[in-house]
Parts: sequence; C-alpha cells; structure tokens
Amino acid sequence: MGDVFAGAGTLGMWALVVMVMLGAVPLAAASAQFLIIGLHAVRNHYERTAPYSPRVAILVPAWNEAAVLGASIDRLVGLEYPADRLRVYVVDDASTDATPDVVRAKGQQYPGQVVHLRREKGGEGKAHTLNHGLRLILDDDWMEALLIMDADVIYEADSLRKMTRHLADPAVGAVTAYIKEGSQPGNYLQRFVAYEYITAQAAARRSQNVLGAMACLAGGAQLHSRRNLEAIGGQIDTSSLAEDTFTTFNTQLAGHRVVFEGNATVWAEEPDSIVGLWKQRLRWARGNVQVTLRFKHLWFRPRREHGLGDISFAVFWFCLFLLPVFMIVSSVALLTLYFLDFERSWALFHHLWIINAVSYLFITTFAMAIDPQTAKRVWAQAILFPGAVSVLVILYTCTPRVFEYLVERWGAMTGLTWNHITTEVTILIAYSWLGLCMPVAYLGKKAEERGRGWLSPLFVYLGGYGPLLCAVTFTSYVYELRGAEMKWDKTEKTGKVSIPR
Amino acid sequence: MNDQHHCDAQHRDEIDAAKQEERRLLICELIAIVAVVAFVLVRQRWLL
Repeated sequence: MGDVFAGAGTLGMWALVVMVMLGAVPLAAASAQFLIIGLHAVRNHYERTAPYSPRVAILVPAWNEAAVLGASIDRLVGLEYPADRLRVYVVDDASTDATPDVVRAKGQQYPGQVVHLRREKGGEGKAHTLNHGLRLILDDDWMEALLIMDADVIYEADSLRKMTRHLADPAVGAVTAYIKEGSQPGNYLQRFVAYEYITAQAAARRSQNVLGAMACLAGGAQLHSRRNLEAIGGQIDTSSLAEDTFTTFNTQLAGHRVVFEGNATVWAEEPDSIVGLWKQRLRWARGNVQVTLRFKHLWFRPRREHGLGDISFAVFWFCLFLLPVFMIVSSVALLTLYFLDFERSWALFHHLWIINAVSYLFITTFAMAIDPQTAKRVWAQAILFPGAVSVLVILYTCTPRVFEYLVERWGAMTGLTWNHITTEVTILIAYSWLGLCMPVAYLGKKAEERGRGWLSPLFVYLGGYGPLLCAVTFTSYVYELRGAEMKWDKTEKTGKVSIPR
Repeated sequence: MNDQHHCDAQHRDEIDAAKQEERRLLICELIAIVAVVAFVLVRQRWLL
C-alpha cells in the first residue's frame, strides 16, 4: 500500500486515496462477518437448549391465499409437534377469494386446531393483520409461544421442534429459522435469491448469534415466547415498512435474546421477476432506512443489556446500508485520480480490486460450503453474484499477465487489436465499474417493464445481482428523502414452492 | 415415561448433529482461508 500513499502530499490527495479504498470496505467487512462464523462451533446456544414443547399458536396472515392456504394448513397440522399443543390461527385480511371457505373447511377437518379470524376492513398491511390476531391470542391464556409465518412458506417437519428447544432458556425471547428459496424449478433470479439467502441468513445470522445481536427475524419464521410479546407491548410496529426488524430490535431492547436456528429449515417462494423482486426489496430497504433513523440513539453505543450498540454490529449494519454510497464514492474518486495522477490511480485500482478479489474468493467458497445442497443448484449464480464484468476485473487484477496473454490471443484470432483509445476507454470503464454496475443491473428492471424481459437476465448477469440490490438500496434513500407514500405491496405467490427431494 | 425418554434421546441426537455441523463449518472456514492464502501466494510468485 506504500506506493499509493507515497508523495500524497496534499490533504485532497489523501482524501481521494481514502475515498477509493472505501470501495473495499463493504466486502472486507463481509469477510470479517464470515470469519466470525467459525466461532459458532464454540459459541452457540445449543448447550442451553432442552426438549421443550410449549403451547404454540401459529399466526398466519392471509389475503387471497386460497390457492396455497389449504396445503399450508395441512403441513402445519402435520408438523412433528404434539397436536394438543399446536393451534393455527389464520387472520383473513378481508380476502375476496375463497380463503374464508378454505379455512372453515380446514377448521372442520381439524377441530380445535384451526381458527379462522376475519378482518372486515383489510389492506392496511401485514403488521395490522398480525396485530388483529395477536390481540385475540394474547387475551387467552392458552398460548405460551407464538410462531409468525407467511401463508405460503413450508416448514420442514422437525423445524418447529428445533426452534422451540431454544425457548427452554428463559433468556431467549425469539427464535428465527433458515429461510431457503424453494421454487421448483425456479428461474435464474430465484437461484440468485437462493444464494443470497445462504450469505444473508445461514452465514450472517450465525455470526450475529456469535456477536449476540440479531439484525432481523425472518418475517416468515419468527417464534416468540409469550413473555417476550408482552414485554414488547403485545403488538407489532405499524409505523414502518420493516415490522420484522422493529420487532427484532424491540425484543433485544426488552432484554431478551434472539437466536438463529440454522437447522430449522423453512422453504419460501421468492419473486421470479425483477419487477416483483424490486417491489419486495424496496419495501425492505425503505424499512431499513426507517430502522436506522428510528434507532439512531443506539448506534456505536455499546450497552451491557444488549448487543445492538456494539461497534461490530454497527459496522456490519452500516457497511450494508451505505454500500451504494461507498461504491459510487470509490468510483468517482478513482476517476478523479485518473485525470490528476494516473500512476497512483492505477496502483489504487489494483489494491482495491485485490482486496475485493480476496474477499470474493473467501466468501463465495465458504458460502457454498455452508449450504452445499443449495450451492449445487446455484453455483453459477454464486460465481456471478457480483456480475460478469466485476468477475473479469477480479480475474484481471489477480492474474494480469495471464489475462493480457489471453486477450492478445483473442485479438489475434478475431483480428481486433488494442490501440491507445480502446485501452483508455477500457480503463475508464473499469475505474467507474463499482458505481456503473448498479445502473447496468437496473436496466434489467427497465427491460422487463418495457416488455423486453428476455433482455433482463443479460443485464443482471453483466451488472450483477448484488449491484441490483445496491440499486434498490440507493432508490430507498431517494424514496425516504422524498417522503414517498408507504405502500404495502404484497409479493405475488404462485404456490410453486416445495421441499427438494 | 417412555415418551419423555424418547424425547430426551431425540434431543441429544439432534444437538449432537447440530454441533457436528458447526464443527464442519469451522473446518470449511479454515480450508477456505488456507485456499485463499495459497492463492495469494501463488499469485505473488507466478501470476504477476
């Protein structure tokens, strides 16, 4: 690194160097988060578990879910859990399809185990629907633990049992499971999501277990003790788009621990179009902006009672939250240096991408080892997660001589030669790519909206699925700054999810 | 009584399996670290 700082006399030059290296911070932080996972072998909650089967009320919010609800209820009733200690409460959010008929029929099929709760005025969002059921369930002493889920997700038979065992420890207020993308056969986008969930859930939540601070309980798989629900006020936050994260934070602020159980698997269907994914993720990302602002008094202020103020938790949170900013700032600084001091910019470009390459190699190989069953299905999406162009830049910075030799050979074969202009243009594109990859991936959404959906995979594979999510995060800043309306867009489900054999 | 015994045995087996899985991840992590370090060394020595 000495060469990039050598002779950086002015403050401005120093600032540019630091700004460029900001581009490596998020992946380096992600690597640190992955490094912590190994400690889960010695620092986990398994020692404090016990066979424990509290009376569980399963709360299922449902709006026009007739197509999937019947099968979901059958599977829930069939979970490996004592039947007399399990009840399914379906909160029908003023559905206009056959949802009420389906739930009533299941109520007759499983007397005393399936309860139909109807909201006549619906469409206010998931949190309102959950609160309707929560009020009624808490009024009754029967429930000892509450499982909040989505109508279409599939719980593996032993998953609930594996979650409740953690509640044997009174310090634990909530438990979440490993949500996996389970669309069959699933398209390229769903395979990207499947890989993303290895990194964001199986990996990140294990390291959060180690650190003792959980960022978010999965919306489709959160088990709460009654004591915890009462401690957080007996209701879910309705003022934001991230009710799951608010519940997670409030649980920890109430002094209760949140545990991720990686062996409890829940299968979910994720959007198969960029437009659908964009809607879902924009809601999540706007929710994260709201959480960041609402809990601003917590960040970087370590407390004995909970881990939410820990420096490590804040660093991981903000590295993800500010990822698009880091990427844009890094690119702009590198381009500025290109014109001011090319030699320095070239050295910095290499350092930046070498750090990114090492992080990418470590994260990708380790993530695939964490969930080999999923990795077998999505290995191509794992490799191309940052986008094909970024992978090429990584290959170039790792093996410049090999890469240049191959380019020369390719040039000789095709008759294309590199001149001064093509070289400069290539360097400029490579320098700006950290910022440019986001709009390129975003073009995939634009193509879909204009009826050219066949072009979308091209843009996502080129720009990257990770950068697509960064574009969503960036858009969430804009929406929140504009004070855009908080609209609950329900993710469309087709019932194509199943447990792979 | 039998039920309780079965539950306890099942719980012990599942916790043992969970711990074994965490140990597998630790080994995978160590292998991934060694692979990355080896790659960086190979790159410095032969690929630059």
